Amino acid sequence: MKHTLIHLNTSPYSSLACKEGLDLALVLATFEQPVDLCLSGAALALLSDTQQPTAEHGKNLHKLLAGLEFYDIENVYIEKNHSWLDSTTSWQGVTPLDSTEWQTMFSQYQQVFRF
Amino acid sequence: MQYTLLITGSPYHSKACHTALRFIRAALNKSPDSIKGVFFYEDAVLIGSQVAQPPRDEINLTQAWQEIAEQHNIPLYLCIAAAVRRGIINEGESRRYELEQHTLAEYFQLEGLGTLVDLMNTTNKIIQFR
Amino acid sequence: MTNKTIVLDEEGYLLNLQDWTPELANQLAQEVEVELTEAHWEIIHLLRDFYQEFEVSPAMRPLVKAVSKKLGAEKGRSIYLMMLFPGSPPKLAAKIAGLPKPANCL
Repeated sequence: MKHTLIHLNTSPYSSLACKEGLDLALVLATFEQPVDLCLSGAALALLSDTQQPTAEHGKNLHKLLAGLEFYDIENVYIEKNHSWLDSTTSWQGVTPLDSTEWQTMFSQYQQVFRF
Repeated sequence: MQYTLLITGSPYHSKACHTALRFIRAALNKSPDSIKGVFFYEDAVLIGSQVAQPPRDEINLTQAWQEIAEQHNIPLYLCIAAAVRRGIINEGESRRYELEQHTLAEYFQLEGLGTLVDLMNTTNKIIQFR
Repeated sequence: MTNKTIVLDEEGYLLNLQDWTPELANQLAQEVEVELTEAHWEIIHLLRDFYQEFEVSPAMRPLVKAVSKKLGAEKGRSIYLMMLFPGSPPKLAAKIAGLPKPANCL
């Protein structure tokens, strides 16, 4: 069995990439494959609590974060020090890593998929 | 060494489908059974359309993939959810949605992401082209 | 029930999720020969809450986990759910609960 990292780096509502990346994570988890997530760049916007996407924006992907525990997806990593990410209005389930940890993280997985 | 390819880049917005093809040719050149299968996801599923027509003086990428699949017996899978959403539909799905047409090109098949998981667990390496 | 026509998709899932009513659930259940008891309703409500909260219809594993967390470990077992919703519990229960078919469901 391979340990997979799904790396989201694109804006959640500007394309289907985040949605399809998360779908892949859910399927891997459903098939009992160990999978972690990490977020960077525009995908960090996914963490903000204040999103109210309309039907045109797509499904509310932020809501899915709280459901990840039911899929046994326990680790969602971000890099520390995103000053614009206000901890009072963003999802608390993330594990912030310093830049060294962030870089070594990628080598801990047999496969990394980017969306 | 056996590879599975995961292709996520759109044939129109990226060179993922082109580069992957070149990778496969190089790999096959070295070892004839080095490619286990190819899984297309996200906009890459557009490669499986039998109705898209490139201009005559440009590469017909779908055809190039079909040729390599035929010659080397490489299965080409499209994620069914991603494909159906984008109008790439086989006969079965066409019936299911009560449509009059189907658009899936020959040599491509619609499969769930579970097939990708199987491929992952039965090949040494999986490479994403995006 | 109103006289409004309820539209189902080709597999019997509700097309407009807002059309769902408990009466409709009973009707949908009858069609697949399931008699809805309190035990069924418990799962149906849980599923609808799950969808409300996370915007996704759960497959088997997350469903079992959610049931276990909300209704106790005794009920959070696939065999219990199979008894209530034979065949594929996530699919059948989603259908009766008026939710979309779980994606990539085994």
